[in-house]
Amino acid sequence: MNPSPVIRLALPGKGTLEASTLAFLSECGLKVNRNNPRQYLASVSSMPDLEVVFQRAADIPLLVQDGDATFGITGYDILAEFRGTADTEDNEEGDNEDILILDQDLGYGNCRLVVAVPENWIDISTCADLWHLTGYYLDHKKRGLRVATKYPALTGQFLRKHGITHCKIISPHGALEAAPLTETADLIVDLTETGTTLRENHLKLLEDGIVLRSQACLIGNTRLLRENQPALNMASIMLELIEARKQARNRSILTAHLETDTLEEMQRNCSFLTQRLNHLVSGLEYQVSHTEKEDIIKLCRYTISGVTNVGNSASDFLEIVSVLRSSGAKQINITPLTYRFEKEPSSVRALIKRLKRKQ
Amino acid sequence: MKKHIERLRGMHDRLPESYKQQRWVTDRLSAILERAGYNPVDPPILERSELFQSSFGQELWQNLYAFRLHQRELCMRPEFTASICRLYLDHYQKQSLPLRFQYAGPVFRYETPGRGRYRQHTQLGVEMFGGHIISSDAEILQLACEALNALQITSFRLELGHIGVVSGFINRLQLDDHAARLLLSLMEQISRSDEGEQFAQQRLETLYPENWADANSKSYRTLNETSSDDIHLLASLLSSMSVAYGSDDTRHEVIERFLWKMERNEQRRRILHALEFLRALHAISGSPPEVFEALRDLLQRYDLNSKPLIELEQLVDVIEQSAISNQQIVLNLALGRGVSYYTGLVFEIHASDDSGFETQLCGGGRYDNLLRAVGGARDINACGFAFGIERLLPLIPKDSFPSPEKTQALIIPVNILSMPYALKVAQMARESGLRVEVDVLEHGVGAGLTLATKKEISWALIVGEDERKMNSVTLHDLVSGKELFLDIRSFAQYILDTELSI
Repeated sequence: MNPSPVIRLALPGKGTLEASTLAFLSECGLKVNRNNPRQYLASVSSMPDLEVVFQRAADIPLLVQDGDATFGITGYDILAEFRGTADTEDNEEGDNEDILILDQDLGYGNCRLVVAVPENWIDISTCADLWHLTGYYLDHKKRGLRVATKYPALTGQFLRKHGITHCKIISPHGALEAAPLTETADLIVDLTETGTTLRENHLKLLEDGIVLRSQACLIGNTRLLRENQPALNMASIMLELIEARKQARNRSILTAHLETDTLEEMQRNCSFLTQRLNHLVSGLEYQVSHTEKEDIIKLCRYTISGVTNVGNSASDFLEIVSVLRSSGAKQINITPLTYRFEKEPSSVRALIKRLKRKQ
Repeated sequence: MKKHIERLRGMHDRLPESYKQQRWVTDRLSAILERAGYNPVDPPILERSELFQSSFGQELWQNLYAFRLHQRELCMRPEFTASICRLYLDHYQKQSLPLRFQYAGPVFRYETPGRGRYRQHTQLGVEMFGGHIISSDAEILQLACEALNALQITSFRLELGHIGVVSGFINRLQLDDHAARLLLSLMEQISRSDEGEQFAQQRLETLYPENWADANSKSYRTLNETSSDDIHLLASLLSSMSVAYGSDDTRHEVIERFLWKMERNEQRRRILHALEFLRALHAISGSPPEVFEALRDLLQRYDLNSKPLIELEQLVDVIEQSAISNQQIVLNLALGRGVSYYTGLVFEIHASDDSGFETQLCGGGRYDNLLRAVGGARDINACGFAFGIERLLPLIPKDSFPSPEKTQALIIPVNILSMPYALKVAQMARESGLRVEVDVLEHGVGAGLTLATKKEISWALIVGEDERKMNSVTLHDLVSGKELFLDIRSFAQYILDTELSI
């Protein structure tokens, strides 16, 4: 018998995704222990059999495809460029079936891959305009458009989809924003979070120029997951925790202890609160529990508790708090939710189904 | 355990039986074409991407097996035509026309594989450079039909079209080249399916949306007519908007482009008119002679030059006399092919297999501007076609393939020492035209005979020290069990004679 192979998780070790990935995993109960930030190897205390390797985000898809890492976290933009397609469904071509997307949106690392043109191009605001412009270029300049991007495959696919086939895609190593200014390219396809950098460089987005929306994603090697039961078990645990964490994100648990003099008043209060709170926040699921201890005739103590999906902003809470106070709340506790487990881990079930289908 | 390395999707291993069938088909077709004066040439599989980009008229052609190696953009050929044009420019420019070439080999397209659609398949075809249009069109059409008939594929359908009708219409609408190319590329989709037609409509609606440009506006101006007032007006408008322009040239270009765009918006009406025309054209497809009547009416209604139609009528007349009945011909003037270089005749040959599944066996046409597009100094008349060999195979009657040739005799060396003599016997047998194998298992005569029986080989030639000394062989007839001691110079003839007499 061969010793069972090391199960590795490749994480982005440089760039913007590094810190956010570590924070996210820690939130999920998968805290990564790294002795010092220059080390390439680390471990996860809750999963002793998992070895963590830090690599560049751009190298992670290949590591997972080759099976050098069983799992990896990288940007969806990087993965999509690696696979050569922005299509989200399973690659029907089957050419890249070595990589399985376990979770496409981990909920951080948001960015968009967009088409940007010089802001003084008053004639261009959509991809259709760009198509017309290629006609102008052929007619007047005897050449196609030059597009600078670090995502040539996705860019090519996007432009073809819009029928823009008279153009040359170039991939400079340096900053793309400078390309139109220095006239090495006419327009660019680049990542942006807010669009600020583009604006600062006198570029503007096209109305329909979003090539891809991207977040961090979790991927796995199909073959290893299929052949290696411990790896599949690990995938299930990670997915279960990640899903529970994602469900809990932006949710808080709220408990209010109330008192009224009579039972009728309590009932009145409750229906009033139902109305007010439902009006105030959506997604508040709560229940009333009645403590029927001591003096039932004189005093009614009860508790309202529930989960809300209001953010962490204090102003949202304060409005709820004042409503509850006006109904006689003595004490109100609000705690952020850590995990929220559903009846069944749907992502785990989906994974097992997809592994079977791909066989 | 090492991971099993799988064959690429859409690529196939050709095994002996179908390999032999395919080679038989290729040899037969090639012989027919060679007898028609088409000289075989074999350009490299790998070319510069630029060659195909120029021939297709666009840089972002999808489905290419294109890659970069040592800073060179390379491409596995998706078809032969551009390569043969390059080959002509490289070697034959000084020769007098016409020149005829034939080719056969693999082509590569990164498409979703499906029934009858492979990522690597074999094309066999011809290109003719020079010659008069009708005569050469007729020759290649006749040749394509003749070739299929020779393979006993007879129930095919020949679809004929002509780019000239649509391009004439587009020219008269005074649409610019960009719009014309778009319409020609959408033509293929319109003629393929209803979904394709809807897609074409949508594309045009997106690119030429209904907006502030009055759709009924009768007056449209070309850019040259734009008054200098307009330019000044726009220039002052741009200045007042405090949009930054690096130089006056940039500002001027953007203004010019803005006017160009406005002018193009006014093309909407004409573009949609063209779409209507394509639909009308597609709706009239059918067999001659009736369809010619309807097409003449349509062209008259749109006041179009009927020259392409006359060309087609002459063509049909010629090929009906030689290769094909008119029920097999379908005229479809909206027929568009996947590539944009065609200028005149376009055609496809389709056939259905036993299960009713229809495949395209052959496609071709005329491309008089292609040689210049790939770097020639002038336009040269050119036309050609190509067969998809893999698609022909299932349509050829099984009994027309030559039966597979079995090994006739197994040469069994008595022991390892007899091996040199066994190889000598084998060589002599082959020189006499026998198909022989040498038993290399070194397992003795008895096992060798069993092996021969198992492989259904009729004769065994047993060679040992005695045989070597006497320059002879022991011939064992595995059917009758009879054994003969024959001279090395006569055993082959004995086997051939005996087999003939059976």
